[in-house]
Amino acid sequence: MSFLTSLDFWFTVLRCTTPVLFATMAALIASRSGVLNLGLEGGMTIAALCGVLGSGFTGSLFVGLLAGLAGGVGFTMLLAYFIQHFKTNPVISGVAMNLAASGGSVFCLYSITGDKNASNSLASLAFPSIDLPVIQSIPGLGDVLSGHNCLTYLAFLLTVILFVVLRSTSFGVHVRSVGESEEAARSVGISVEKVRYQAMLISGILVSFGGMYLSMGYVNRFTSGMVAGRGYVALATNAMAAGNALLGMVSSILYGFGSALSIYLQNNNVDPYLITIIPYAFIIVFYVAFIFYYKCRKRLDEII
Amino acid sequence: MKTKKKFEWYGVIRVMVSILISLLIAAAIIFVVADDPVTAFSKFLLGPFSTRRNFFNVVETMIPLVFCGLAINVMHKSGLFSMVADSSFYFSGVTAAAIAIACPMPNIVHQIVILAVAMLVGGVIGVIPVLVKRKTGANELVISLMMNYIFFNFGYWLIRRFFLDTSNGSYSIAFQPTATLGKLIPRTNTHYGFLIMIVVVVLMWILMDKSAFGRALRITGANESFARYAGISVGMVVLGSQFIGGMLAGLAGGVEMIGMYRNFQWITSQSYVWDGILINLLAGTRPLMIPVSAFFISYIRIGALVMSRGGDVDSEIVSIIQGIMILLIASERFLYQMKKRKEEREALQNQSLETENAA
Amino acid sequence: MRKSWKIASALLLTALTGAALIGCGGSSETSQTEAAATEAAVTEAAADAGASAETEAAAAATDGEKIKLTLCIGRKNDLSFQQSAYEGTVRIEQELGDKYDVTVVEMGDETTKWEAAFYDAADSGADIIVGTGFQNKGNFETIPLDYPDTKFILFDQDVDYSIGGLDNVLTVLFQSNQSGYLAGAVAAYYTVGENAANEDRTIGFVGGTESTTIHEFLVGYAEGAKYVDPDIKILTAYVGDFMDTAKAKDLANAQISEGADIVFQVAGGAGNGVIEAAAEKDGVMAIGVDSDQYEALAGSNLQSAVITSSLKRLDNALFKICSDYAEDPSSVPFGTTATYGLEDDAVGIVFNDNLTQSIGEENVAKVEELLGKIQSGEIVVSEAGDLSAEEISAIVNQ
Repeated sequence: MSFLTSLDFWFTVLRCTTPVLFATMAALIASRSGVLNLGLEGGMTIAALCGVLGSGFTGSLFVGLLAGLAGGVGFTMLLAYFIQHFKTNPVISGVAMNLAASGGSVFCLYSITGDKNASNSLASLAFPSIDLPVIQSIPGLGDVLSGHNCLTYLAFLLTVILFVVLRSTSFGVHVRSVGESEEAARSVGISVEKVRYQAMLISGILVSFGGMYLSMGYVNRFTSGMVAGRGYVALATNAMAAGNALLGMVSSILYGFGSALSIYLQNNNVDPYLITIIPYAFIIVFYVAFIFYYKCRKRLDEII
Repeated sequence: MKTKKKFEWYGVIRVMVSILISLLIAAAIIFVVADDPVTAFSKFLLGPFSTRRNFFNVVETMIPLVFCGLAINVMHKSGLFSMVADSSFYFSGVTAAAIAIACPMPNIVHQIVILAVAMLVGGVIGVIPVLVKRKTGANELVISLMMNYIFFNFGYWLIRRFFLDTSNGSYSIAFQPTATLGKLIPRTNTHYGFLIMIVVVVLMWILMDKSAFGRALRITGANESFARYAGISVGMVVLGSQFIGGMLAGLAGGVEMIGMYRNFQWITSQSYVWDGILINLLAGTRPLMIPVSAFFISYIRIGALVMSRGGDVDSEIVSIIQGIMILLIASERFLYQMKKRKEEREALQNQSLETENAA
Repeated sequence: MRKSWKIASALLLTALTGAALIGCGGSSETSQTEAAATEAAVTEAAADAGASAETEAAAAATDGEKIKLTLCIGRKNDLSFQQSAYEGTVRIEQELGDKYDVTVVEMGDETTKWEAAFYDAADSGADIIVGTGFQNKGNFETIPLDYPDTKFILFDQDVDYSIGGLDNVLTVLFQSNQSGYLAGAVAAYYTVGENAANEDRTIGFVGGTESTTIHEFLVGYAEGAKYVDPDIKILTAYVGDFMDTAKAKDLANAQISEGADIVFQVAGGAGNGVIEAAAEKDGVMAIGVDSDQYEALAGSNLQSAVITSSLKRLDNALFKICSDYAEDPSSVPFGTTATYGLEDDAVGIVFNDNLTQSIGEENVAKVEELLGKIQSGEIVVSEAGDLSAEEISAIVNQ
């Protein structure tokens, strides 16, 4: 386990955290407004594909970014429309949209480019990596924190912003009150529908960044199934966070740590199938642990 | 009684219209992407009937779909959205393969033992999420989704560790010759699991629609506090539904494993839970309709495969069709106007009848 | 209303069972006749396997009919050996177009549906049916029995000929352990050389899945590297599939951070991630697989990171078999396993300027010498198919 002290390992932890952190925040804002967004997996897939197609065909990273955002936001808003307007069960509509996205992305890729597994024939672009000006020169810390993809920094930045917005802006108060009690919010004149659509819009933007990080950040191509369950993992990390964005960051890093562990352990001759379990086992164990922590805290509050 | 009858017609029409719309969208997509859309579309619609083997391919494909549809039917009727059926399915397949390889037994006994153990393993796995939820309050959807990854990797590791065929390095060594369900129809892969499926459908129909358990489960799923008030032991009913659902998914894994394969070949995770949700929904959550909707789904899948084999349309178009279908059927407001108008007309009729009677 | 549901479902179930029974009755007859046909064919084949094939092909030639060749693969652009097989059919179409009528069937990823596709191909009257990969072992042990007049060729996997009746099946194996050996030697010369990123004598290997096909490369790689320098340490990792580019890149990066300065990727499409990881670090190189990836990445900034590629030329092998068959059907050894290695130009590594620049002319000459020694039989590389998992890990980790 000597790699635990290696700086590259901790760099990997942050990299594995990024897509899940975006998705966790997307799940968090939706669930705070009282909507279960099960379409994270599909939203990331669509955004990843659209970003690659957009940047690949135009040669412009900016167009790729717009296309990715359009795909992810459009997907999430369609889901929101079904949940809000057609009163579809959120679990079932999420399942339906994910199903359509997983196969539909392969279908679109094949129909548009002729590639079946991966967008190999398309020269798509990636977001640049950034060296942080001051931190870069600090030994140790600079190696871990500097040189990441710009989306990684965006993810952590947006997490903090989301935390502040939810806690201390009037929009945040609206979102929380809608999520806690629809009736109460309505009685004080908040438009429940509007707030939820707004929350899903933000969720869609976050999901799009998560998807684009996968296809335009670390590697620059779209591969079928590349989201690989990260959208479902985000549901779990969000459940752990219990509505607190900073705790969501902690739970995402825990998953990132588990993933990095499963990558590094391979070189130490541990069976690849056994160690793939690590991040998921991590989630279940810590999820249950978090719940006990909340219960204890609540009990303590009651005593005091 | 009368209103109920009208309501059911409304449900059937809705399903039919949803299917029609999604097929129309599929046709539109095919016309856009295919060079020869007419051939492609006719292959898609009639492909399963093009050869005898293609037709029975539909039948083989539907067997696990029926089991998993029934599993989702009983599991989700309790009001819990547990996706653990995939864990049960995969791990029961692993168990079935292990017994099929390692325990020589006489014919018939072997198959019965394999399927019985597969069911039991599936059932035990099935109750884990609800037990965790009961103990800690953790969300069953989250727990079950994470469990699916764990059981897949752990199960495949077990097979690799103990039964790996080193000549190819990915699959297991061969099953004992007694560990096979045997072919129901020669020169196809359609196995005796089809008969097991029919028996299970009838049993589940009796259990869900005719028994006290089914009634208690429906009431619990619809309104838990009312069920408690009505003296139903809610905990036992929910636990029972998860166990039975797990058993069905486990049986599906076992039947598929020894019906379709001669050695363990599941090197990727097998996902049937989303299919189960779709089929259950298409069937209007009626156990007796599940074989019909499973047949329909496997029909369009095989049709799409036949279409993609010789042409330029990818078979993944099916998942778009399925997604649209689920969305439309699950939308309460879809064709809501039709239902509302019908109800209004009915109310008017009733009113006039009443006034007539009164007169 | 509930009644009508019941009636509807009852009707459908009866229809299904009815169809099943009809299928039963009908097929038992056909299968009997076909079984008889198979038997006859087997005896005939046993009597004179070559002659029957010859007359058949001769008949085809006199009629001016083309030989119908059908290739059934999962996906034709997998950047790996399926693609190579597809390229072989393209070449056949171009160069032997007057003799062959080529059809390519893409069967998709779900292997349980592949059997039906092979049956469809056989029913459509194909003369030669070609498949690839270990997934088809079962199919090529059963389907050919029903079609004794059709020829079957399976690449990268052998079948159990002892079950009998498989005289129309040719299986083709590649000695990728030989090309792996040369790749291992290149890696060793690189990591001890002056261009390498660090002093560590560590080299990496990233495979797609843990399977015998992949281990074939690994065993050769390890033996080749240890022939050059017995102290070399080899890190191994597996992606779990052949698609997850990001995971492949993660694994390669982990190996690089543990001191590997050259990584051999045998992970199909996912392997591009390994090349990306190598390209991002100074002094780190990647070894490509199956096709010349230096050529494939022309114009990309990744190109210079590909030191060489371990080649597996299904296209060459398929083309050779098909041109032989068109000349004289009896020259193709159906009913046996053919092994293609360095001498047939079916496996090998790429020698180019990038390689010379990276390890120096002197070492390139040494690798070429090794190539000669393998061809002459002076060096015999172990075969993963004969080894247990423990023996393989002993070779890698000794």
